[in-house]
Order: sequence, then structure tokens, then C-alpha cells
Amino acid sequence: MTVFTLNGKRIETSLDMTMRLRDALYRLGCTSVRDSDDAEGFTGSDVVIMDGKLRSSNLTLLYQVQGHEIRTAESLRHGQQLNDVQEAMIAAGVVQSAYNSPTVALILTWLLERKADATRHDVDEALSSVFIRDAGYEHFHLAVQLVQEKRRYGEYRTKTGPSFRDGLKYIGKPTGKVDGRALVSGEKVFVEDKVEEGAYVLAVLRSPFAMAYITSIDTSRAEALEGVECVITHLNCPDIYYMQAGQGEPEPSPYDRRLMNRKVRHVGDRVAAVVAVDRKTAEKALSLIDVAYEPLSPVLSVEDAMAEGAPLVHNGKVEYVSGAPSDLDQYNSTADERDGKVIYQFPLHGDIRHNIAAGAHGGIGDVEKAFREADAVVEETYRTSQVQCTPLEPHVCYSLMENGRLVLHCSTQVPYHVRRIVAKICQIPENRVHVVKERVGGGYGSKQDILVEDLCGYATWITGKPVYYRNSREEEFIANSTRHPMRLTVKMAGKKDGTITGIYMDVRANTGPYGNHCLTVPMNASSKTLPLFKVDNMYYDLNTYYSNIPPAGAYQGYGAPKGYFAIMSCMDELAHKLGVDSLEMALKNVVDEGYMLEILKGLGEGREGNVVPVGSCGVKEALRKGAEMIGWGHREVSDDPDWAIGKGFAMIQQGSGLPGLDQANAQCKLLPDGSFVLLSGGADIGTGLDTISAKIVCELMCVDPSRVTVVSGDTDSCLFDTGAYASSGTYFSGNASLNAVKDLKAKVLAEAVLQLGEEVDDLELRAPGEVHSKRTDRVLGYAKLSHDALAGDGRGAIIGTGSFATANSAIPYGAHFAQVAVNRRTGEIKVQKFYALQDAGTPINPELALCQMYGAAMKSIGHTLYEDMVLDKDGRCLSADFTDYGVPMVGEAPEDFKAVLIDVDDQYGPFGAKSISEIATNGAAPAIANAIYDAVGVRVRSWPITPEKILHEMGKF
Amino acid sequence: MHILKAKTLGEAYEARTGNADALYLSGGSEVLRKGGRAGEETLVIDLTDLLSGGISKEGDMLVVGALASFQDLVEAPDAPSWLRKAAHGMASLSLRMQATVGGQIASLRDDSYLIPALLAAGSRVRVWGKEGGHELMLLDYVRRGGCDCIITHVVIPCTARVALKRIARFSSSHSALSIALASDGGCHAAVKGSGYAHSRGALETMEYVDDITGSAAYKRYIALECADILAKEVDA
Repeated sequence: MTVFTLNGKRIETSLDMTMRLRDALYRLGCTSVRDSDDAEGFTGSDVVIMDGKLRSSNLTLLYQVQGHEIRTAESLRHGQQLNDVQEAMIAAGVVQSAYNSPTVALILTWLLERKADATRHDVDEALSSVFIRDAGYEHFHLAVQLVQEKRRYGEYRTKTGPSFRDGLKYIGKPTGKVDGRALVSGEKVFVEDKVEEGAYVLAVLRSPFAMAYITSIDTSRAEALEGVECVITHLNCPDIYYMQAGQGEPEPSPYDRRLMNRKVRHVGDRVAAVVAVDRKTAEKALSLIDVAYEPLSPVLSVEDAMAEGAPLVHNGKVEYVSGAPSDLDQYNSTADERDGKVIYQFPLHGDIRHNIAAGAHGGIGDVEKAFREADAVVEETYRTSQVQCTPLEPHVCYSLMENGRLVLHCSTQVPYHVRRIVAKICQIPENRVHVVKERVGGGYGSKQDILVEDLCGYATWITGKPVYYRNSREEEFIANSTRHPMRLTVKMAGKKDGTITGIYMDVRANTGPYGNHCLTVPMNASSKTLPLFKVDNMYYDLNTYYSNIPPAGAYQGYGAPKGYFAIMSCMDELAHKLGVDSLEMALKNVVDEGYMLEILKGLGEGREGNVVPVGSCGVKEALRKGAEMIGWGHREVSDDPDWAIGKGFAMIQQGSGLPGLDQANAQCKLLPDGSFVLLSGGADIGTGLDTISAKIVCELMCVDPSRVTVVSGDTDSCLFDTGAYASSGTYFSGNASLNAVKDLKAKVLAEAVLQLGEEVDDLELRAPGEVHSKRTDRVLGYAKLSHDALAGDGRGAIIGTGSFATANSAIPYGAHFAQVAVNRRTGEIKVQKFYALQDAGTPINPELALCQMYGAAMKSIGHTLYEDMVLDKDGRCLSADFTDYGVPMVGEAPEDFKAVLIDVDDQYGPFGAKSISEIATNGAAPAIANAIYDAVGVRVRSWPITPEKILHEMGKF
Repeated sequence: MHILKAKTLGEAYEARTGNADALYLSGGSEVLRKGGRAGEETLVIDLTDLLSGGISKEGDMLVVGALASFQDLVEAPDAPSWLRKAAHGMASLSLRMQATVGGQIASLRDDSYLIPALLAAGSRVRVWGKEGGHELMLLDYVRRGGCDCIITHVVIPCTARVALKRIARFSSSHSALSIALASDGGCHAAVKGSGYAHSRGALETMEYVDDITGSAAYKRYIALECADILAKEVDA
């Protein structure tokens, strides 16, 4: 029996005394104490306070707390009353995906109890214990400041964010996040919190080889183990080919895998899966599976894959759903049946016999002529590394049978694609599958892929058992989607006056073992960069190669951060060669509003793109303002001669969803008491999409937020939405909500016309939620209106429905500036200043927008300077934990870090809004690389830009 | 794992020496860490009731109980600034509050920031072993590759002047190099993958290895360069 004090109450527990304290606390109801690193002691999601000191509960055994006092975030909230730190965190916008927000609230509360006047340094010290991927660290300082102000003055004196659109009450105002309270206080909102006692556990046996054929597999000993429900292998899984990327159907990615394959294609690939009564039994069963492999030489790089006679990652039969070439039979004559199949929905210029998964080519003008006639030409090759999304909540799924239907509780960005793909694998219609998107503890693109739901759902379908699956952190690294490593060659030509006359991009991407996003992610390297340039001659070639590295897929920004690293670095090199200021060159060659984007014609994702003019565009303002902020043109000199200081920048753009491909739908219901429920197909993954929908209801229907509830991402209750990717949330799902609420408003007015007997033109909606007649001054409250509509003689429920699909783009623009200091002797790099300036149209949630900019910029600083999945020659990942991998912590945050929203009103976005978050991953790599060159005169053209590479380029060793 | 809450140092020592799969537990940040040494059948010998975490001044010496945490060193008023810097650079705040000085020394990690600093200062360790308690130079303990004995205290000369530097890709990653120089010319370094060097000359001849913290050539360059940088710093 362990006896201790938990949040002021005596606890006696008979749980195993050698259990990790984290697990014990969770079982004792403290769901705020999370596990993000399997006891690595890195992320801090498991930090508690023991006898007044911070302590990792994952690095503590239950018996160690005997007689001690433990405090968790559950102690901070009293009834419905949050503590002031929790309130301030919501106000400051830092509660986003929020998997460890309760822990951070606990740590900051502890800090302020010890030191009420905690300084910025004190806050940094406290935050050194936690890894925050979504919101960055900057606004946690604001949160502490807000607490201090409220304690001192009884109110916040500092604005929690800028305000936009004076005529609106909720849109463009920092009002807090609708799910903020639940998230910051550690409520049971994540998938793991839904798992019931007695659920079975799914565990996966993974390949030790980067590429091999499974020559035999014997599961009999595992199946005979008591408590094992089933074992799934390539021999008994459905013969269904699919792909794991959640993309609009028909997908621009090949169907090149089954649940399990006879050929394993990366270290960590699935070999078998066990469903058992508990984890211990499942893991024991895995050890009893006998597998014989025929190992093959792995292909690890683009160069390996391109080589003459390279081993083939996929050498099966190729099929086309449409557009099959006439020589397909001949092409398939050398296929090896052990490799399975690759099924293209339509041609993607793939050639698997040369390891090419997909390709694309296109452009405008005559680049060769431009190069011939230029005053200077630069041609350089840039390389980007394999980068992991590292959501704090790993990939997780809980599936069960309910009334003959398969129900999946998911942490996903794409609930409707999960439903479609799981139904396909189980060979059942979609009505038999119900997907519930829970709160998502970090996605960043990796949860756009259906990486665990396919197997977990199928396991439940065949066993009838409730099944829980959760990736270990190591599995997150080796069996999860990552950024595609790329080799990008850019050739750029210019005139002495700084005019860029031609750009050519040769993009070679490494998609790893399967073709998730093999066209769309690499395409973004060109399709999100070239349209930023007002250049008549531009061309790109793209080839994506299969290999045996851990899987690649979607990651915030798709291929754009890599494209920008190459193209903006190259532009800086060209400017130096021509003797032109690179900022002047940018301003001279960047697009303006109204410029016709002919280049888009060749940049469609597997189809011809639409040529449209540039819409609202704040890039020049961002460039000019950023230049002024950082003192562009003024050289800083360090007091220490070993340190050199330099400046760099990048202009950037992204998109807002995929016009012509994406669609979103929503419904808004007026309830009998006059309150509202908005049903959105959109998947809020912590970014505040539900808050956008709620604000739209509040704004149009003139009601307080307390009268609005948003339900989203539930495939039974909500209508179809393509999903939360490609920066589509605000633009597509937001516009669908807007259209639904507009429809509802029209129906409310129509009902009021009948109930009041007045003309619709005389009626208006007004706060606090009523119809008002401007002619007679009569008032009809929503409650009475709804009640009467729902009465026995009423006309029925009032429901607004809206969908949104468009050919129009709402493109966000921006510019990021960096000032770095580089040590000439040690190569050490300090990011002294980083300014992110972005045109997001109307930022509907300004405080959340700023935090997403900070978070995304930190991610991009991470992939620029620190993050790297290192593989050995056999394809084994040597950096499969946080410490070895290298995510940026608060210690890596720029000393002076500012996010600035450029005020631009867009004609297509809801209330003028555009996307905000993805674009912010595009700037750091080129800005920092150019700043390093400015400081020490060497260029490192590969990620991560390490001190070692700088010193090497400087010829130090 | 199996837990033994030993009642005496002698009992703890006996349990350890009689069992190759036994470990001492103090803070837990090392032993209980993912990939740490505690397996399902490991005997974990809990020392927390047997040792002190107190920090006191004895003449010019700072006597640090093995259970003192890194953060205790950071906050110790009598700790010299170089020692506080070394302890601070070891880990995040929560880990600094949990990880102990004794546990760190016993681990002999080749990415330790603290151990080279203590070595440069000429620190000693008090241990409990076969012959009961005794004291030895930390340098001898490190050169010996540690021992089965229990570290009870670290004795640190407060008057030592030490300059130190840590080279790592980012704040929470393993160090490629931790190096400390004393004003008496002592130079000690922990080099990831290669272990310890106890003189500048040893840094010249050490066998460096490629690993995720850097190439052998880089480590060699940076070790010698940092030794030069610190030599000037400690002189100043």
C-alpha cells in the first residue's frame, strides 16, 4: 500500500509500487499528467510537483512518493473556476493543441508562488522543462505578465493581441478559445481518455531490415499464448491496396501498400500485429512470432534511388484506374509478385522500375533563352533533411464495436478520409463506420495520414473487441510521416539592375517506402514558390523517388519550406553576384495585386491549374516593415571579435486550401431555447477552427459565445469536410460555417416574418439574440421563435446548411527576417532576432494567429539548425528520441522574437481571412542561411546548418 | 524491477556486489530513464534514506552530499560560479531538481558537463565500499571507470578557478564535448563516444569517433579550439 498526499488529499493505493508514478496518477484520475516521451525526461508533459519541487513523474516509481506530497494540475481548478494562470494562458493564445498545457499551467503557477515578480529569465528557466511544439514559447511570457498585472491592478493592462475590423464584435478580436478551458485544465478530451477498462491492446512487430522479403512467418506460438485474440500478418490481412495519406479522392498518390506486406520496405515497417488482453501479453506474443527474412540492399537517398541498376523498392505489378499507358503489359512483364501492386488513380509520371513514384514538369516562357541573355546566372544545389513532426500526443486510436458499427476515436486531421479508408480495408460501407475526432494533441500534418487507424479499426472489426493502439515515441520516429528529404537545384538568372529573368528548379524528393503525398508535398516546393516571382521565364522538373528510409508524408508547409530554402538562398546568391541589394531585388521581382499568375497553369496537382490574378497581397509591406524593424543595411558589430553578426530574410507565401479540390460543409441549428449548435465537418486540431465557427455564429446571429456550441469532426453528426490540411481550415471550413450561418439567418428571418407578420426587409437580428422590427419596434426572441417553430403546429426545426468549394485563392504572404551571431572559432550560432511578418487577411483569432506564427517559426528554426533523423548505412534511425533528434526548446528561441500581422482584407476569405500557420514554416531556413552568409561569408546549403558544417565550409578542419 | 530499500550502506553495498544486475537509485533520472539500465529483473537499491543531500562548507572545501540535486548546486550560496554554471548546464529545471550529483558521477557519462568541471577543480569523492568509508581523488575514480562502491559525498575546492564550455547542437541534447580548464593548467574533457581526456595533450592523441553529435574531425578540432579559448579565459 502506498500512502501519499495528492492535491491536498490523503491517498492510499494498492497499485503496484514499482509502477511509474505517471501511470499511477493517471489511473487515480489525474488525466492532466501526460506522457509524451516514454520516460525520456524531455518533454515535461509528465511533470508534477513533489514536496514543492518539480519532478518528472515518469522518472519516479510509485513507492518513492510514500509519505510525500504530490501536486498536479488538477489542483489548479476549483469547480468551474480556473486559476489565474490558466485564464491568462487562454487569453495569451498559448493553449492550442495543448497536450501539456495543464502541466505548463502547473509549472507557471508554482513559479509565481515562489516568485511573484518572476522575470523573463525566470519564466525561461521554468519553461526549460517543457517542449512546446505548437505555440512556441513567446506568449507564455505574456501569460505570466497578464497574471502579474491582474494580481497587481485587478485587470490585464497589456493587450492579449491586436484587434482588427472595428465594425465587428468577435471576428478579429482576441477573445480566447472555445475549448481552452477544457484543454488547460486537463479534462478528458484526448483519445487515451476515452479508453475503457478492459480494452484490448494492439502491438506491432516491426521490421529490423530496411528492405527484405518475408520468406516465412510462424505465428502459432503467439496465437497459443493465453490472452492473445488474434495475430495479423501479410498472410491473413485483406488483399486491399490503399495508401495512408488523407487526401481528396481520387488521390494523387499511388495505392502501394496493404495493411501488411510480404516485402518490408523500411526499418520499422509492419510485419505483424497482435491483439491481446493487455500490453504485457501483446509484447510477449510479439516475441513469439518467428519470422525469416531475405534481406535486400537498401536504397537510402535520392542518389541511391536514381543510380543505374539500383535495387527497386517497388517492383510489383502497376495498375491504373484511369489513363493506363498502352505498353503497360510490357512494363509489367518484369514485375515480381512478392512486391504486390502499385495502383495509380491516374498517371503521375511514375516509373517504379526506376524507383520513381511520381513526377511533374511545367513552366512558362523560355528559361534557356533567359539564361543565355542574363548578366549573371547562379546554379546551386540545396538539400533538406528528414524532419519529424513530433506531436506531443503520439499517433493513437481507440476502436470498438457499437450496435454492429465500427466506432473509432481518433486523433486525426482527416476524419472523413479515416472513415473512407477504414471502410475500404474492412470491406464495409461507410455507414458502418463512425469516426469521432477527439481533441488532437498536435498534428502538424502527420495526422493527415491514416497511420494507425487502419490497423486498429481492422483489428476491432475482425475481433469484435475494443482495441487501443498508441505509438511509442520511437515508433513515432521510425514509422510515422516525416518531411520528405529533398535535393533542389535552382538556376536563376538576372540583369544588372536586379531584374530576375529566369528561374529553373530541379526538385528530387525522397518519399521513402510508400508514396504518401509523393506528388503533392514535393510539388509545393515549386507551386508555392514560383508564383511569388514576377518572372516571365520559369520552369520546374520534379521527380519523387521511393527509398527505404522511414516514411515521408505531410508536415506543416508541405514542400514549401524546402522550396523556399532553395529559391530564396539562390536569390541571395544571385544578388551578391550582381552586386545588388537582395531586399531591393525581392521588392523588384515580387508579385503585386492583380498580376496574372500564368505559372499556375503548370502547377496543378496532377491536373492543369487555374490561371488567376494575385489577390490581396501584403508581401511588400511585410518586406518593408521587416527591413525597418531589423535595420536592414546596417551592419551590427559584436563586442567579442570571435562573434560575427549577419542579417538575412525571405519573402514567402502559401495557400489557403486547395481551390478546385477541397470542399467543406457545415450546419447550424437553432435549439428550442434559442441557443445554437454549429456542426462543422472541419477538424480543429488545436488551431482554433471551432472558435472561428463559434465567432461566426456570434457575429451574424448577435449572440454571446455562451449561447454557441461547436461540434466538429464527428462523421455521424457533421457533414463532409476534406480535412484540416493545406491550410484549408479558416478558408474552407470557415467559409462553410459562414454559409451555414447565413442560411440559418435567412431561415430565422423567414420564420420571424411568419410569426410577426412583418416584411423581411423591416427585420434585423440584434443582441442579445432576438429579431427586431425596425418598423414596429416589436421584438421576437430566438427562444420564442424556435419554440413556436417546434410546436405541434410549427413549421419544424430551423437549420442552416452551408457548403464551400471555390476556384478562388486566398493566398497569405509574408516576410521573415533573421539576425544571427556566428562564432568564427566554434561555429556556434545564435539567432539574436527573428521577425515574422505575415499577411493573414483578417486574423479571426489574432492571439492564436500570433502563437501559431511563433510555433511555426520555431519549427522552422528547428529544421534549419537542429533537427535531423540520422540513419546508419542499414537504414536504422540513430536519433529516434527527442534528445538525439534535436527539437528546439526555449533555450533555442530567438532572443528578440516578434510576430507581426500585416492588415490586409481578402475578398474571398470569411470576413477577409486567409490561412496563417503553414506559411510561417517557410521563412526561417533561407533567412537564417542568408544571415549566416552575411556574418561569416560561407554558405551551408543543407539542413541542418550545424556549427560543424559552418566550420567545415570555413576550412577549419 | 525489484526494489531494495537498504537499511545501511553496508547492506546496500553487499546487495550490489552480489548481483551483477543490480543498480543504485538516487534521483532516478538516469536509472529510470528510457533506455536506462533498469530492466524487468533489475534489483534497484534505493539509497535515498541512506545518503545526504546537504551542502556545507568545510574550510575552503564545499562538501556536497551525494543526493544533492543539480539545482541544489545552482542555488547553493557557497558554490563557486563555475560550479553553478556547470550544474545549470546539465539539464532542464525539472531534471535539475531530480538528478543528483552522486548519480551523475556514478554514471560517468561521456557527455557530462559537471564531471569535467569537478575534475578540473581537483575534487575528491567520499565513497563507501569494501573497507567502509574512504576518500579518493575524483580523477582516480574516473580513471578507474567507477566502482561498485557508493558515493556519499563530493568534496570540491572552492578556491579553484575553472573555466568551462559545453558544445552541443542544442540546449537539451547530448554534448559533443564538455571541457573544463583550471588555473593550475589542468584540462579535463568528456568527449561523446570517446570518454575522458585529462590533459590538452590527451586531446591531441585521443581517438575521436563519428556519431550523431559530430564527426571525429569536428570533435578533434573543437576540443583543441575550446581548450585554447578556455586557457585564455581562465588566465584572465
